[in-house]
Amino acid sequence: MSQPDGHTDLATLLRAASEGDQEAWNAITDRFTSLLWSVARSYRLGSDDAEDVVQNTWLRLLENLTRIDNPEALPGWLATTARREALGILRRRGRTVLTRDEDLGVDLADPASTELDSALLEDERDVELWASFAKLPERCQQLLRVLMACDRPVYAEVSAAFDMPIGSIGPTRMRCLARLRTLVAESGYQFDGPLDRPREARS
Amino acid sequence: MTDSTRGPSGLDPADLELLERLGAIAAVVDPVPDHLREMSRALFSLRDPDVELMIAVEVDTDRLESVRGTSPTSRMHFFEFGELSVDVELTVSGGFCDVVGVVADPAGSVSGSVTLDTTAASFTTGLDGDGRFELRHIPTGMCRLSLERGSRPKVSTPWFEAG
Repeated sequence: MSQPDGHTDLATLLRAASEGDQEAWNAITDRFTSLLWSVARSYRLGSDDAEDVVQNTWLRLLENLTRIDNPEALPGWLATTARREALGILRRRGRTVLTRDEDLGVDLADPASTELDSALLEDERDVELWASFAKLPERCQQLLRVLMACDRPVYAEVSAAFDMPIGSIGPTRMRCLARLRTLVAESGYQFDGPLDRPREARS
Repeated sequence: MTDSTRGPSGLDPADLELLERLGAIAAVVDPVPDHLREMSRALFSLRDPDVELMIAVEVDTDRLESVRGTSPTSRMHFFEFGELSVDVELTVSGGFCDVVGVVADPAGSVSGSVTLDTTAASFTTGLDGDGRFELRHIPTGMCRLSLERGSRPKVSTPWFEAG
């Protein structure tokens, strides 16, 4: 997780990587691969396509390593690039990109997928929370999926990644989170603060 | 909720808690594959710090018509670096593609070699007297072309999709 001085850190890592330091590159990819994966998966890409998104995004960074003027913008640049790669794959596959940005109605969860996910979780509250998350509209799931993969998300970065003007991201995020809390409450479970780390269900 | 409770992320503590919980669940139900982390690290071997990067050029329909590929499964890509240009036609068949290209430099004759890198392998061929080159049976996926011309700076295209 990034520290308050994470940006300074990032500048150092980028400079070192651009000078050929493999360890610095490892640190960058270790920190952000889960963000890129989340962006790809938020578009419901399969594993192979999601891996391509991650790989292609790193290739773009690699060829631009010496051209990143503002290290603070790196997380947003990575998310934007991953999003573009994901949309490119969807286009090549001929799939429609959902654009129900303002639709905060309840989405239909994929029961098979949710059941499969739930089988991995031991804590019933996690099962309920994840099932509720799966009922959120596509746009909310995308936004929250990316936010949950950020260390300390900032408006500008997520805004850049998801084409939302600064100012609309906050309220949208709050509506999505509020909607999620309502869904959890309706399910009969109260999400009330810290829980143990989620554990995989024993088979 | 006041700003002071939101912290630098703009998220209040309850939001952060919920997102962290969801993030922890996502890590269980949809983890990043281990080999993807390793692959991401390994891509560093493809770094080429001494290369000048060409830019991919979007072309208008008229120009595209005049250079339309010879088969419905072929695609054209155009790259430029100053006056230097590389036009490439990729024709895909059964998971592989054939690459036919031409290098043009108004500043002088073109000679040298072209290397096509995929993330797994490299293929090199020479330019003929007209700046043309061909590479056959290249695996589809991401690739880039690099051009070496004697003592002149090496130039490379950005990574692009072959296939």
